[in-house]
Amino acid sequence: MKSETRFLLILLGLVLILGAGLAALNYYTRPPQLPEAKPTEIKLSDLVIPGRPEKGNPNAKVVVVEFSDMQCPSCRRGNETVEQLLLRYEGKIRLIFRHYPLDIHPKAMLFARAAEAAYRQGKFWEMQDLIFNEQDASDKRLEEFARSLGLNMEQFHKDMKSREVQEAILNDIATARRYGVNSTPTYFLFVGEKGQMIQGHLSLAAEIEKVMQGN
Amino acid sequence: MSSVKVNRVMFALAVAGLIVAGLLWYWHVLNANIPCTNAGCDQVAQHPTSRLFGIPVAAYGTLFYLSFAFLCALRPSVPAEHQRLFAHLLLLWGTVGFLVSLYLTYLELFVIHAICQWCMASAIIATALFVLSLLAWRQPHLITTPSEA
Repeated sequence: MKSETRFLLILLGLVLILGAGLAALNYYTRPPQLPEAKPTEIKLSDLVIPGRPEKGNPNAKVVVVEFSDMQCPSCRRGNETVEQLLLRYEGKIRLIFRHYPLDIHPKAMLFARAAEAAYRQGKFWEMQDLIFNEQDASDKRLEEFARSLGLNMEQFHKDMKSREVQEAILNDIATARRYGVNSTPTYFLFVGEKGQMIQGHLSLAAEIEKVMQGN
Repeated sequence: MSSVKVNRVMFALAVAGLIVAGLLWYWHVLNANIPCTNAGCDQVAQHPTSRLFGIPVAAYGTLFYLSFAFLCALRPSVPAEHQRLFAHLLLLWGTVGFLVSLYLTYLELFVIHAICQWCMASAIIATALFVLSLLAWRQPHLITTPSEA
């Protein structure tokens, strides 16, 4: 074996030993990590927070918190179902919207930002409807939507890029993850303080029927 | 650059890549927050494509750089008649690394929509290794002059 090979192999060996040693040291001296516990009970105060788009009767006993992704087709159908429920049980339901844009939908985050920016000018639900009607809308189309809703365009652009809007969306995502939401739409249905997690709009409709029949 | 120097630079780059990929593997296994100036690294590390057959992509990267460094280290001791074969092997390995890096960068940019600086560093190293392995392929024989020995 030539001296150059010996030298390079020793170097490589040293790097490996050093690396493994540091990794082991780091591993065994790291602070104990508490697994982020999934909340054992579904808390109203976690899910119903101020500053989220909502409609229906703000004092209703039945509260629906919706986690939705605006590029997701079942969320569009979910929206129709929820609209029908709100109409049918007018004054008896409070609906709160929270974002859960999924990674698999490349435009979901953009849509969430546009809707959130529209929310800051009081046009969240209108923007949501426009997006749901055209779930492949481009940036340019979103601008046209905003213009057609009579939004202040300068403010709209500013809000879309703002830290506040980003944080609001990320906060929604964090809450969803903490509760183990893994698909959209997912709903949290509260009757008073008692809540349950429901996946899919058809299950939600069935559950609400049950609650309303019971009342 | 003499072929001996090319070989040494390749070795140094492969070791650098080994460190980057090793760190990423370690962080991935621990599910640690990856030090990054944006949120890109965590997004990339949590994406389903960051694993292949259940094994973190960074683990394959670690093995790749380790084997590359090993090949470079052995090269000076290879008998003259086998040096061309060795240069072919290096070029093959360099091309594989480059193509895989290209694909991973595509995933980052167009599928995950996030940039992980560590992955970028690895991609740059892999690209440099590919270019150098081309040089080594054109000059397969390590001519050791006394000053470089």
